[in-house]
Amino acid sequence: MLQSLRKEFDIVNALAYKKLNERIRKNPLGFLGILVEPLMVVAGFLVLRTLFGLKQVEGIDTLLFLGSGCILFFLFKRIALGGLAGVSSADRPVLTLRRVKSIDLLLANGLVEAQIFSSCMLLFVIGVTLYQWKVLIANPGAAIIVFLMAAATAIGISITAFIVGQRMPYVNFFVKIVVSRVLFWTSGLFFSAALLPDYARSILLWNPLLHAIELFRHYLEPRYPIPGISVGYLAAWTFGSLGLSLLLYENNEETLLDTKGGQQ
Amino acid sequence: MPAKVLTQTGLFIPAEMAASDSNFLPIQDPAPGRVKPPNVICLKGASIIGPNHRMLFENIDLRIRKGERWAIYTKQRQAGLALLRCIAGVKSLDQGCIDVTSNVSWSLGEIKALSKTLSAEENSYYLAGIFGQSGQRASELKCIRQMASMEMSEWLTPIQSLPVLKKLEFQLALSLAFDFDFYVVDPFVLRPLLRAGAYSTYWQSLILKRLRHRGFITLADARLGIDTCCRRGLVLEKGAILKQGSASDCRSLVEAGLAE
Repeated sequence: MLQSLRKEFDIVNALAYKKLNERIRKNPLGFLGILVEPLMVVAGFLVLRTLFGLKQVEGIDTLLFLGSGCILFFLFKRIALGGLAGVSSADRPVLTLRRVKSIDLLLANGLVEAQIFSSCMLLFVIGVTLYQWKVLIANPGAAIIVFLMAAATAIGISITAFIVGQRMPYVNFFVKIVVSRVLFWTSGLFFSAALLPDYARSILLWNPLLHAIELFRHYLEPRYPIPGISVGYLAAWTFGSLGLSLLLYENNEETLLDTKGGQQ
Repeated sequence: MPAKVLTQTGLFIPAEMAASDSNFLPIQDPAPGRVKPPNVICLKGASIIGPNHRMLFENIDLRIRKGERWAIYTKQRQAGLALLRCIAGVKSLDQGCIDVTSNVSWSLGEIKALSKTLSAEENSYYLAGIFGQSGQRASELKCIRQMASMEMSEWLTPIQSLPVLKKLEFQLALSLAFDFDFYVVDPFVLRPLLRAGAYSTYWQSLILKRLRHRGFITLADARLGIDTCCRRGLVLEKGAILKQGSASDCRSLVEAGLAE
């Protein structure tokens, strides 16, 4: 069993290597260009926030507040929407290799996005630390775990969306709206959960991404308040989404894209 | 055309010459034992529709066991190639199912999964991650580069920029570098490399080395003669299997048909 897991890891790693190198070659700035793109989005939000003269959030640096929220949200969105898009036309020839399944491509996509956004986050935190000239991460281990849990939840949702989307294509439309629009306004990118009225907070706390973002901010700065935010809830979503996705995949493997004309 | 035999040194020589010289030994299938080897590939009710909605082959049942060497004899080349590509995993069946329980190669020398924008090194690295041995990456990459006789500049260039023949050599080197349980040999893909001359002997010997103790399936081709090493054969005629049995019987049937 360990050997199979090792082989599966090698396959996902190899596919992630291919995807990452293809993206680097497509970008005129190479790997730097891939990192700069999400950071430019963060910079855009910072400019907007400055222009609108929004109130500084208590207990945390404004740059860290916005940057952590944006990077985590875009990580989640890229991975989750990757499953909705299904297997891209560029990746279909890879499925001619018998050892590669569509789930491997989705896992590889998640791994690549996690690598890119973790590098962005690291660059961002180092940049803000140098700018403020003080160490801004109180609990790096916990922050990394929350980051990985957010990525794992997104991977679980991506695989589930892919499988459900193969059977019911109209579901993709609704999931896309929920992930890109609804989550954008309700995940705490621009606001702190502590500043919300109780009735709004009780509704928005159902969103696991809000928990991930708020927890991440709290582990950067312990003074940042997180009323009602729970690691357990986020962990339940992580294991639940991964478990559901694997269960759905096992029961629907034969009908998925990588089976050509039936059993394989 | 006289029958040819593939020898240990990698030359296709007339069968009479092989019989008279004891230094040239024809390749034999592994001797059948008491216990039947496990199935490698199983086709049930397989059908493929070609262009213009024409049935290339219909309702084919085929069972290939481990170590067996099969030759497909057919006048309809498109049908034979479609069957090979279906077994290689490149083409999907329109009806029926295919059950593959072993590590089957792609068609030797033709890899659809290569990324055109990546270099030969990067493509080799990613395929070695899927099909190679753990911890042997560096030696596998070295082996592929040496087999394909690639200069460093060619090795690091995106493969879309490589000349056609060099690209074919690279793909063949990749095909021969990894250890599969069963091989698919499309002679038409290999033809540009296996023309007469010392260069063809090099590639023939490499292919021979790799196929020595492995099963494979190929399309009968008079120019290459690799089907003479096969013990099992099938004759495809008008989309159905006319005969399935020993390769020599199938060959005789086809030759008799041609003679008529």
